[in-house]
Amino acid sequence: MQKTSDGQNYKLLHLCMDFGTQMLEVGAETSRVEDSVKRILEAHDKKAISIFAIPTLLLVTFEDDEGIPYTSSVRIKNITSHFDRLDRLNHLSRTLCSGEVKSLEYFQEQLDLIRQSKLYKLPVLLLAAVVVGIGFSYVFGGTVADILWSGPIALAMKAFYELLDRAKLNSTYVNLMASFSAGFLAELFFRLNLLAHPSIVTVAVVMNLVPGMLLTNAIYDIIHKDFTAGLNKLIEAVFVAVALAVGTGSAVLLFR
Amino acid sequence: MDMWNIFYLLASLAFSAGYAVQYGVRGRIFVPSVLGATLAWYCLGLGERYLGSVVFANFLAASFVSLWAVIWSRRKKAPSTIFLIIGVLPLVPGRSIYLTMVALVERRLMDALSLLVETIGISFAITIGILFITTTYSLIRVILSWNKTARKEKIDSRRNRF
Repeated sequence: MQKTSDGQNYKLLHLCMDFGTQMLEVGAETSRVEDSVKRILEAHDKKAISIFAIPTLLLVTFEDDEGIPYTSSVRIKNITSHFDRLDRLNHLSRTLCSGEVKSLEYFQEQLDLIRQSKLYKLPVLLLAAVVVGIGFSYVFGGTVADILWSGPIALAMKAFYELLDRAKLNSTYVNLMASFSAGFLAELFFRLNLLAHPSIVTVAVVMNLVPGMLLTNAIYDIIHKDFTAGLNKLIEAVFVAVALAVGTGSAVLLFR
Repeated sequence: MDMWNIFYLLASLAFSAGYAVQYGVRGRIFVPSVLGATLAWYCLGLGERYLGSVVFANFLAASFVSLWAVIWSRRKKAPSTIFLIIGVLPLVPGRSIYLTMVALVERRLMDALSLLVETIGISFAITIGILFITTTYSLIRVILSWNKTARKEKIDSRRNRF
């Protein structure tokens, strides 16, 4: 009897860790992760629940009815943005917290299902980058040539970015190199008299890389008093912004 | 740039959709997040034109996005950050960062400094916009929950009397 409840508790702990890890990895704010895991454990009538999440670590502790503590921790490595998965995880936590479904098998099944859901395919991502480049170069007031050339430049930059990103390098280097390639191509095509405003094209293409998610999540964490997590993200956002500036700036410097 | 032509609208919708795709948004939350980013861009443009202040325009646009995120997260029962992040992306001062760098490279130090101050100002404006609306919303929720508990206590105390 003791053993089965023990097993159940460990399984619940394991599932909660998996859930929290997935949530952090797809770009949820830490307060949301802490809150969701806490609610799931509350729905399973656990006591002394304590969750701690920062972008690089997740800690979960709870006690069973006899006051025996269960705890586990995970080091989180790569954070991406995959909002479809975030939405589904959020929906799952709502279902679990409503108290209708208490079976751990359902929890496990849904988590595996969500883990398998894929991001858009690479060609679609490249096309999205092209669309962002073209859209911004129009609204920034580029000429027809600017608008047309921002497409291929955005394509090249995004392809380069994805290549570096999949090599799991640090975000500062990836953004530096990608923004440099964008600036370099824009300045080069300007020298070849293919486009009129290299500045508009560079900015339009680099708008693909702006650290909007890091900035917003940092603000959100700081609002929710998670200063450690907020600062963590804010520093990365500042580094990415500086990388973008230095990347494009050095391209300009090269062609002076 | 004339804001009231169809191409401008299409371009804004296009980059908003591009952002949504790159951040892995799909299904029922796609349309509200794309519309949020487009409307935020229009807020920014209108604010810049009629208020004459880039920083204040960014504050208004960020406040709008936060409100939009709160409304749609309630309607779709989805995390508000999805709508918030997609909406904030067009506001991030990529242009000011670039112009700051160009001014530095060309050794126009005073220009670089004023552009840097503008960049930081815009970032703070976005921060304050999000903070203001999000916190006001939490405050309203807290007050509503007080109201609910107060009503419940009243009913309970009546029940206990009989």
